[in-house]
This record gives sequence, C-alpha cells and structure tokens, in this order.
Amino acid sequence: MNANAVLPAHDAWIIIGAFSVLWVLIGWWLGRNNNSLEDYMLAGRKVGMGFAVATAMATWVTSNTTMTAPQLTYQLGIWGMVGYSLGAVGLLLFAPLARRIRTLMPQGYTSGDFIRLRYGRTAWRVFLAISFFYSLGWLISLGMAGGLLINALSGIPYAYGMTVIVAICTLYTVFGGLKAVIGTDFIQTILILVGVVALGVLVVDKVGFDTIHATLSEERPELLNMLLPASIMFLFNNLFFGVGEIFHSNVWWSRAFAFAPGVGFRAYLTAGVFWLPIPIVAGLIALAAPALGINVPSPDMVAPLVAGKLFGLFGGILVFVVVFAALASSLDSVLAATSDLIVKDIYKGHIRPAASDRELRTAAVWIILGLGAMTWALSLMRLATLGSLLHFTGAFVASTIWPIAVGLLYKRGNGVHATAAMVLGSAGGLAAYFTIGFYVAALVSAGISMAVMALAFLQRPSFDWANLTAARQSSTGDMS
Amino acid sequence: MLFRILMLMTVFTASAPLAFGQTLTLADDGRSAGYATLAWAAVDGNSFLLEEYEGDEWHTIYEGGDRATTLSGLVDGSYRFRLSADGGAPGPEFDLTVAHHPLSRAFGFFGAGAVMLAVLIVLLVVGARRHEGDEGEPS
Repeated sequence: MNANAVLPAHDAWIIIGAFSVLWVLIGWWLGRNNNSLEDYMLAGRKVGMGFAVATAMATWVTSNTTMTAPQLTYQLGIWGMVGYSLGAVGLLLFAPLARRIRTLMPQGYTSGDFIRLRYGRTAWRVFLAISFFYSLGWLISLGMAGGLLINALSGIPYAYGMTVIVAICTLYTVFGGLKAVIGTDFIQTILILVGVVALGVLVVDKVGFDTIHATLSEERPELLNMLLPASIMFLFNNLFFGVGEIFHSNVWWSRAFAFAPGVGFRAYLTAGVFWLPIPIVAGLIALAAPALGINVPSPDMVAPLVAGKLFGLFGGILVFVVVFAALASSLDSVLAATSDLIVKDIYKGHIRPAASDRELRTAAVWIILGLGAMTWALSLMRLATLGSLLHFTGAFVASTIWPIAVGLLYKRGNGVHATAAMVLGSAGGLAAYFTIGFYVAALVSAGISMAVMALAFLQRPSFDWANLTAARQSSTGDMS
Repeated sequence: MLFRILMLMTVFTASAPLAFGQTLTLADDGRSAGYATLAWAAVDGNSFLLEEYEGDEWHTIYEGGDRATTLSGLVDGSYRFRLSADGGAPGPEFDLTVAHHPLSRAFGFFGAGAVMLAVLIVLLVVGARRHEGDEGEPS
C-alpha cells in the first residue's frame, strides 16, 4: 500500500513532531485564561470577523476535502469534483440561520438546546442520536485520513500515524477549549490555502491540461462525460449532505453562539465563497494520476500519491503539511463541539441536571479525552473507505435540514413532525444507500424529510417564540 | 443504543469483498458508476502483473508491488482480467461487467434535487426576511 512512499519516515516524524509541539503550545497559550465554562466551550462569545471566517473555512476544509474530493474526482470525474465543491452551499445557506440562532438564543450552548426547546424531548433524543453518530463518523474519517496520509507518503504504519494525529488534536483541545480550536484554525487556514493553490499550480505546470485531457479521453473517457449518470445523481446529493452536516451539527452551532453579535452572517457567507474553489483544485490533482501512470491502490490515497510522484520530497512535504493542517483543524472542532453536546445535552440533560459549571468544565475535559480514545479505537478498525464512510452518515444528517430550517424561522411544525421527518428520512436514505448507491442517500433522506415537514404547513402556526425566553435570560446558560 | 449503532455501522460499511476466481477480489464496487477497485491481498508474492484482455490479446495495466488498483471512468461493457505473481503462471480470469444507471433515473434524482434546493432557498429567504429587525427579541 505504500510502494510509492516518497517521504523518508525520519523526515515525516520530524514534521509531525514540529507541528504537534506547535499546536499543543498554541492550545495551552490560548487556553491559559479560560476562567469559566463559557470561555472554555464558546471562547467567551466574542470571536471577531477574521477568526470567525478562518475557523468556519478551516473546519469545513477537512481531510475529506483534501483527500475525498480527489477520490470522488477519480471515481466520478468532472461532476464528482464540481459536486464536492457544492458543499460550499451549506456554509452559504447557514449564514442567515447563524444570525437567527444568535438572535433567538444569545445564551445558548448547543444545537440540542434548540431542538429540545423547539420540538420537545422525543425529537431531541432522535436528534442527539443522529448528531452523535454523525460526529463519530466524521471523527473516524479524520483519524483514518491521518493514518492513510502518513502511510501513503512515508510508509509509517497506518496505526502509528493515526494514533499520533488523534492524540495531538485531543491534547490541545483539552488544554485550550474552543479558543485553542479557533486560534489554531487561523494558522491552519493559511497553510491549507497556500498549500492547495501551490499544488494545483504545480500540477498544471508540470503535467498540463492538454496531457491530462488526452490521457483521460483515451483511457478513462467516462471521467470527462458530463452525462455520467452516477455523477449527475451525486451532484445534489453532495449538496444536501453538506447542508445537512452544517445545519444540524453542533460544530457550526457552537460557532454561531461563539461569534460576536453581527458576525455570524458575514462570516459564514465569506467562508462559503472562499471554500468553493478548494475541492476543484484538490480534485484536479487526481485527474493527473492516469497521465502520470500512477497506480492507485485505494482511491482515497490518490492526492498524496500524485503529489509524491510529481514533486518527490517537496510535494510529499507540501501535501503532508496541508492535510495535517486540514485534519487538525477539523478534528479539534468536532471533538470540542461533540464534547459540548455530550456535556450539555447528555451529562447535564440526562444524568446530572444539577451539575455546576465547575463540574461541567471537568466533565468536558474527560469527555474530550474519551472521544479521542473512542476515535482512536474505531479508526484502528478501518471500517470502510473514507468516501463510503462519510456518505453513509449522509443518510442521517440530511433528514435534519427541514426540521432545523422550519423550526428556526417559522412557528409551524411540532415535535411529531420533526421526529417523523428525521426517522423516516434517515430510514429512506439508508434504503437508497444500499439499493442504489452512496451517491443518492442524502438526497433521498432530505426528500422524505421535506415531504413530512411540509405537512406542518397544513396546520396553523402554533409555536410561541417566548418558549425560548427562559434560555435567553439565563445568566448561567442553563436551558430550562 | 450507541453499541447498536456502531454494530450497524460496522456491518453496513465494511463491505465484504466480492471474490472473482481465487486471486482477485472487488474491494470497492462502483460498477454502476464506472469504477472498481481490484485487490489481491491474499496472494503470495512480492511483484504482481495485472493484465486486461482487450483486442484479442492481454495488456499490462499494472506491474509492481502494490496489492490493489482502482479502475475508473469505465464505459458500459464486460472487462476481463488476470493476475500473476513473481513471474509465475497467471491466475484464473474473471469478468467485470460495468452497467451505468439509466440516464432517466439520473435526471430524476437531479430534477428532484434542483426542486428541493429551490424550495429550501425560498424557505430561508422568506423566513429570514420575516425576522429582519428582530434585534434579539423573538417575535
């Protein structure tokens, strides 16, 4: 699996070591003044525009963008590449919702808070199950990507590379909370942008569009086919998968709560615009593989293999740094946001309703450590390829789009509608995943969920926004 | 509940490779999308030769130490492969049949997606406009 490794293991360990020390030090330094639970979980609710755009972008540029976008391009061609870039629509459409969230729940902590107060406890529990499952899937895909990347580039065994990446991200998230996550995201965004653009330019310069096109036409004509059926089906599927991920996930809600008033709308809009071209550039790298005669043992390794073959040691280091930054920026975010969800919605919501802030802060640390350990253990099993693992969760998250959107903006719809939309949508998405393919699971899930939530518009508006007032006025952030 | 979910995830995502003959397996099955990953993880040897039968003769499509290869961009049709290890005799042949989804189905999903996106945008724009000027006070 690593016959094409271009980075000596010794060099790879030096890079890993240097970045690990850097991230942990930054995490510790940024987190040294965290005095309250609100500081730790939501960075004091005063994140400004620059950091807000950087964290939204860096978190959405994941290992999935830098490794799965090339994979899908290699498998589904031009439309696979374009389809992946439509993931930006999720950020763009979340912009108005981020403003609404900050307005409705200035003292809120999690997306679970909103679902419970808006739709009741049954919908809340279904939502938590979906959200936790998704977060775990995302964490595992990140851990796997780390192991695969290090193995592909340097030959270091998968288990070692994955272990180091998961351990380092867990460590600095524990030290610094959301401040550390956002602070490191800023640096990681710069590394990712510079690295991805450099790689794209170098690929075009070294191989050339004409050579890439000629080889694909000769050897893999369907990758250039604008009417490739699976790719056409995938286009909107990926869009709704991305929308579902962002609308429901506490990763994005926690940022909406953490951004200073007035920042969320502009930050998400700007991040979406800047994110859009990144999968296209990353995907382009994969299309050069046939022209270079590279064997691709596993499609999720295509980007590192191309960079390594084309640019040798320099390319290997460049990809390594980019994907390491992308991995870390997402892994820390998901760890922190999932920990928030577990602390507030499961530990306080179900187990210890009377827990103090001090107790919750301690619980948050242990939960981050536990999540890190769980991610490590499940990543070790290598359940599936990155793409299939990721899109499996699409069947679940796309079912939450309509309950979230309707619930935030309209007084219509109740817990029965929301619960049915999520359960039936997820079931339909799963059925489509197994009977047709991963490229329709989110689309079918979102379609069924939409049909169910449409029933809410046949009834009179019934929800009273004042039900959220208690949460808005609580000084401790308790959502009673 | 979590355990059940994890078990389901394990069962559903760890797709069992489809075996064709004794040497090659289909590690990632995308035959209806024009791609497939062929693997030979259990074959003894250090150097492998994978060939495809085309135009009345066998053509090399991979030679080296890897234990899998991903084919993509395949058009509808039947493909035949064979593998040999360390210069030995080729293993059994196997056929891979690629059959893309019908375009009518593809455009059905495409149309549904486009309509859903339009509905979502209208829902968000209309809803957000209703709350413009709320300034933190739920109406």
